[in-house]
Amino acid sequence: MDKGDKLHQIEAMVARVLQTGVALSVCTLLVGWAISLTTHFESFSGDQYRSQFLDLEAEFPRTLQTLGQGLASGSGRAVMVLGLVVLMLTPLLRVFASLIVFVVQRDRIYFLLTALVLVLLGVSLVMGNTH
Amino acid sequence: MSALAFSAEAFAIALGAGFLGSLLGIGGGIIIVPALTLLMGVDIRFAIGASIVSVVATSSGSAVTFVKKAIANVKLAMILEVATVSGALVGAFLGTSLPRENLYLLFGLLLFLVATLMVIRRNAEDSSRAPSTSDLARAQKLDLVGHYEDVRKGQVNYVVRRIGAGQCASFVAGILSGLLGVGGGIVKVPVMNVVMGVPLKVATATSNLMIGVTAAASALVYVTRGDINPFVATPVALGVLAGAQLGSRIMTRIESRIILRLFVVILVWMGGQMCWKWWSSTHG
Repeated sequence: MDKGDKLHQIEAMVARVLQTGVALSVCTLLVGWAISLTTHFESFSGDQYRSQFLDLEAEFPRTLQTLGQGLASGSGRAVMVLGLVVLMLTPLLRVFASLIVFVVQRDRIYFLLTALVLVLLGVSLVMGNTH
Repeated sequence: MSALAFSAEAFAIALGAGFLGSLLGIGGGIIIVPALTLLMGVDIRFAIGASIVSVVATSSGSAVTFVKKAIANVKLAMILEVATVSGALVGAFLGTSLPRENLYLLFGLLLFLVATLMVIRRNAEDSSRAPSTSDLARAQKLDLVGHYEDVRKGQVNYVVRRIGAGQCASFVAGILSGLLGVGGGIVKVPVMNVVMGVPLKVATATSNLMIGVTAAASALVYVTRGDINPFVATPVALGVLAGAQLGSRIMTRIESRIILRLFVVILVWMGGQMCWKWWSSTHG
């Protein structure tokens, strides 16, 4: 197999991983959106509306714990947050898929580079949590 | 205003932004943040949070189409991602320590910079000189001698040059992404094209692939900080995804020069508005 074929093999696999992740996220977002729209079907006055959706104090799950509680109670906001998190994780899956391909191909340079990217992404999770 | 009307407006804005962003190789964040803050009165931190999610959405959504056409260079993306992700972490860290008003000013200045870059941006694909022997040796070692199928020109070959310079610029692009919630494609595409000798279409597709990983690094910081509001981010993410799908479908068919000119005018106008918002909030 020549290099072009191999490369295309990587790209095709990466594409499938991304497609699945995005589809999963879109379904979750649509469900959460539908739930939240039906529960907030009434119109809001200016102030109510601001505090519901736009102010920094607006209520929605911000930690794993409140996300879990929200999901358990079927809250639309929580389902939307879950969908957004799934979406955020799709690029990580892509990097992980590339890592596996580089291992199989015994491509040391690109394995190390990809591993470094994953480590940095891990740091971002830790960094966000400490704030 | 009802929740439905708010959602519909945010969705419509995001649809247009995703379409344009995909055509121009940017995540759409450059349009979304000013549109949400100026037109809809969304807090800039939520706008940046929604934007960073939409950047991930654009990247992951349209990469499927780009990769199927085998335009994006996955290895080049990985080399530059090391730099952009490091930059994004620095940017997200800076973002936590800056007062909110300053984000308007920084974003306004970014819009002017982007407008300038778009005016001077040229397609170096046809004028690219032959690579030096050392560039060629390095590109071969890193497997960065590539080619793609162009609709009109047939097979186009290219050799990636000046990898170090590309990484430095990518680090800066990463800081912008983490700080202001944009993809940073606006920096990466011209750098790959003009500095690194990558054809514009490959640079655009590769940038689209990369910015998702960069944005994910900042998005994970933003979500744990509570800056990603689902009421804003959900319609925006869905709208951008739909728009990006449309954009990537006609990607290889249209000459982006026409959209480019129109886009520059919009950018300058939004930049002025953002700077005015900063001025009136600090001097009003």
